[in-house]
Amino acid sequence: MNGIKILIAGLPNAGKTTYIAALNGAIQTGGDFSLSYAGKTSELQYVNKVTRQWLEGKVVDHSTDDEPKYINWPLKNRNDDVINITIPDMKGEMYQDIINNDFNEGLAEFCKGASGIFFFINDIVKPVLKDHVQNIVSTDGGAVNQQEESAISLSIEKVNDVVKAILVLKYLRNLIGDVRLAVAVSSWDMIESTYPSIEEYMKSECSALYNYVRYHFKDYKFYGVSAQGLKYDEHTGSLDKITVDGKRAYIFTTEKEYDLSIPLDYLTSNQQ
Amino acid sequence: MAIENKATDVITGMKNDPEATKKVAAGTEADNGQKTKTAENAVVAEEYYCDALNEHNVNKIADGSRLNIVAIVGFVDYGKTTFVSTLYHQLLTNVEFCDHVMYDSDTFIGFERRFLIRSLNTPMEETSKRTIKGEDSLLALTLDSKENGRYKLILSDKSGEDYADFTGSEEEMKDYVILSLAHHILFFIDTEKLLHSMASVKYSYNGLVKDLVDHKMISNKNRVSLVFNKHDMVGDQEEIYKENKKIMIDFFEDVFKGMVVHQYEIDSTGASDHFASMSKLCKDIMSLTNQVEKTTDDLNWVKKELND
Repeated sequence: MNGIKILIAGLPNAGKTTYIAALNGAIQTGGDFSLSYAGKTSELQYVNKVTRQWLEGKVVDHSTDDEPKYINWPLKNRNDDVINITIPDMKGEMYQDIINNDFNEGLAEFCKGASGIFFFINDIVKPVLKDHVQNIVSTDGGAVNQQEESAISLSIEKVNDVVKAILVLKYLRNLIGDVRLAVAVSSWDMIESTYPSIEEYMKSECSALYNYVRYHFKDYKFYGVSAQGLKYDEHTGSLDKITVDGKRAYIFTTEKEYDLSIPLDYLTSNQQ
Repeated sequence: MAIENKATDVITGMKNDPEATKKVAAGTEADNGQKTKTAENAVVAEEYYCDALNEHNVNKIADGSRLNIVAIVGFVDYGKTTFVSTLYHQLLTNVEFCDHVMYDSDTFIGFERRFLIRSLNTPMEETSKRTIKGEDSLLALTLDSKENGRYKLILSDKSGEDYADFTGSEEEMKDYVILSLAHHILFFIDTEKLLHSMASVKYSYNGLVKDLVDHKMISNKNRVSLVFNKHDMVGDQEEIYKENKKIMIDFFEDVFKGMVVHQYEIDSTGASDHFASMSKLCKDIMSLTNQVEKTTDDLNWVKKELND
């Protein structure tokens, strides 16, 4: 049995745990996948819990433990080779702490010998200069709160999403090196109608990250990921059917593919 | 397209050595980067990964990359930080800007601080926020273009108050090593102030510029430009503007005898009809000139002086 370490990384709410839950749920309930179920995962209790949440269409609990869960996952490719993938499920705050100059030793230790990075981003807001916008209104439609605006401390929340993602990726690259990289844009179903391809999305909304990746990684791919496969508040009751039919969660590059294992297959193929 | 780049490995250093990486990435290695913290202002309250650099710790980015240093000089509220944040914003939000690709920065957080200051410094604000005196002022962009290839653009964005303090202070001026290494020096002039109090603008620059020349901080190796910022404020005062502008140009040409003094008229917010001239300035400062022979190793002047 081969062992491959893949780092699943991303800031809080980037979609890491939802992906783990969805992949486990999807490959065990049906569909034609590049990688299929080949044995029990470690951290079974945890994986089962989040998988059940996914199957029921509930919001998947985010990782909150200070120590990462290292999930050992035996998966079988289409040649019937069993690939033993180890992925850590770490809380996103651990990655955010990197920007605060607070580096986790467990993360650094795992990165030794990792052969790929599966990097998640979600809910990216492109920075806009206020003086480029004629009418500025706050989210509640009223005038911008002057009191709030005069608080000028630079906090992590005020750092642009794209920059935060680059800083985390930059740190990881310096630890791991130029390994294979998959960048996943989570909640793709929410934005897919606007962009013909994931590449176009990256160029338009995350151009600095797009540039960073193509200049620093020789071997990389971008994916849109709709792991949940539905909006949480639009649970129609037909969830079971699309889940069992393998038509719920999908990957998008230029078209939909109902195979959540595609990025992991890319990260692990010919890596043994 | 996958392009190998070794440059960024250098800043955080050793691969697969978590302890060393942790220290280097955190910038906690034994350097002499003593920061001047301004307690009364929260903008510089915390230090983050990839924050702005100062003359003492800029050697952290010494990795042999080719180098283009641009010093932005000007007094309080002349729009230097606004210019820097506009340039950063354009490079951050476009795959290419002025034929240049920004594919990394050693000082992302330093830029984000300026972006924050900029976002607060709108006409809506009653109080004006600006770069804080003594705040780390060196910012780096890693760029690529067909014309120039790959290199690092170092921007020196000191507080306007720092420049006011330079005048008459030999010690502070000598510490400003980056200026003597700069390929391009931009002297910002606030057009609004120029219209209403040309004498004050000239007076401020008179002391500073003459001191810079006396201390041999500027020579004909530097490209020197006057940047008439907030040009959109000229309005119907074109005659007064032309007259006062000529006085400033004559003054600079007189001080920098024999040097070509380039001129730009911009609105550094990039929000008005002057964006083309703003872009022109950005393109010019990003273009490497024949004078560029330095690499980031030249930033390690501490080591250089020890070797000498």
